[in-house]
Amino acid sequence: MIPADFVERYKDITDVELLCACLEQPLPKSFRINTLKAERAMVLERFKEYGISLKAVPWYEDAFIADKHDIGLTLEHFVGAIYVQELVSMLPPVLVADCLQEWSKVLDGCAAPGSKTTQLAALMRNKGLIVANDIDYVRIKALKSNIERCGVFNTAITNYDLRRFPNMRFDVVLLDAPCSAEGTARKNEEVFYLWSVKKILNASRLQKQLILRAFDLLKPGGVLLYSTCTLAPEENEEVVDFLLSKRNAYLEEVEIKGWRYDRALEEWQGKRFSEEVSKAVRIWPHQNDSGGFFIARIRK
Amino acid sequence: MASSKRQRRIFHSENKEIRKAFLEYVEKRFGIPSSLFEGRHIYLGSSGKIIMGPALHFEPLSAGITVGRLSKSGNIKPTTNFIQTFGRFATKNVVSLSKSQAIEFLRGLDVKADCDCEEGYVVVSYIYPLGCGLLQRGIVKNMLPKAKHQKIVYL
Ligand SMILES: C[S@@+](CC[C@H](N)C(=O)[O-])C[C@H]1O[C@@H](n2cnc3c(N)ncnc32)[C@H](O)[C@@H]1O
Repeated sequence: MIPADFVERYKDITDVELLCACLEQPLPKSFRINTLKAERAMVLERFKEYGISLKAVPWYEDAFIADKHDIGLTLEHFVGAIYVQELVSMLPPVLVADCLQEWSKVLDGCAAPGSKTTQLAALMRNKGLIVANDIDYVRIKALKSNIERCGVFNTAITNYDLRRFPNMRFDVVLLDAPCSAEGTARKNEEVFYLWSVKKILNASRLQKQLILRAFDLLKPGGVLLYSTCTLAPEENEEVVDFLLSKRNAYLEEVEIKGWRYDRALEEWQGKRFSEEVSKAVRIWPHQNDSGGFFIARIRK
Repeated sequence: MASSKRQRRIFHSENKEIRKAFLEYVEKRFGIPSSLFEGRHIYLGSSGKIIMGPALHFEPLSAGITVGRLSKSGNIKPTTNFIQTFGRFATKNVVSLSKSQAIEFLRGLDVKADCDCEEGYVVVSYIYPLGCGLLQRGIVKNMLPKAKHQKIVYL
């Protein structure tokens, strides 16, 4: 059940009929190959033997869409050679891959359960240092177990409220912020039961505090990747715009090879954002048959 | 930067003695070369946990992966996660299973070994290293943690 207010909010900024039709379809099953534990060619060969057809993804050679839903029951899943992950969730690490060096210090500010942490580690070939932080101790247990399962050796786990994260400096910071999660409605029906504008505004308030701290934890010249799995402009464009008004930050244009997406909004409900903001991207579920997502790449 | 005040400091410096013991053990037992672990640090955690992780200048909640356990008597036992990650570099004491044996092993059962391995810990392998086993009198005792026992449909 999609709330009427939800439809009303987005009818002027996207084709809301296509959006709603898409949100009622199940999400395609996707995974990535964990190159820390297995060779891509070998895993592909095995899936061929299982009779599971795979479709490649244009912007990431380790990502695949499977035509079967039970890929969690493969030997590859058991040994940690694959990681079941939504496609849009693989974007943030891919979009900072050019900044990851063997000596990089990376902070994953809201890391649990570690889909992006473990992917970052694979892109870094287990070198350098990742600090994977989360406020939620219960979710940290899942993070820890994913790190172990994926053979990740370059990561330390911390348990802070990111707003009070101690003074350290990082080359790259990922802020995959807690959000109203509208973009995950295809895999989680609860999203629409719990949906309200009030929830969006509360999330926005927290995200503004988080993005300032995340930016302050960067070295000069460092890169912050801000992402959410929601469509609400208050949690996306407005948060980035807020950072630009408070700090000396620059946006870098985000591009995703072979996919359709929109540039971030220039205004929302009468409020104009800084021109810079439109370098960020919003991905509507119906554009690529995926989840919804927002990504901004910010340079200090 | 202590995540919790009660916590013992584990990660402030590498444990050189444990490093030497662990790397010697895996090289001698499995032929896994020490050079694979260059740049990684080894720490000794609570209850004999041998942890391999990044070099650190602060005390996190945890870091890296538990790669083995040190018993009171000083014996080293490798973990499933260690074997699954580095087992592919092993040149000896590897037990290769048939498909039907692999299915049993993944369910948590012991399997018969048909190999000239030495008694003690072995890499149990089917296509990929699956985990650690303990070879005793021709039987590979299953060392997979219960939480990992699983019915696998595709293998
Ligand atoms: C969208 S999820 C992160 C998903 C994760 N990046 C992944 O890819 O697996 C947001 C996370 O932010 C955490 N969180 C919420 N408020 C926080 C805060 N103030 N400081 C740090 N983490 C916070 C939540 O516990 C939750 O795990």
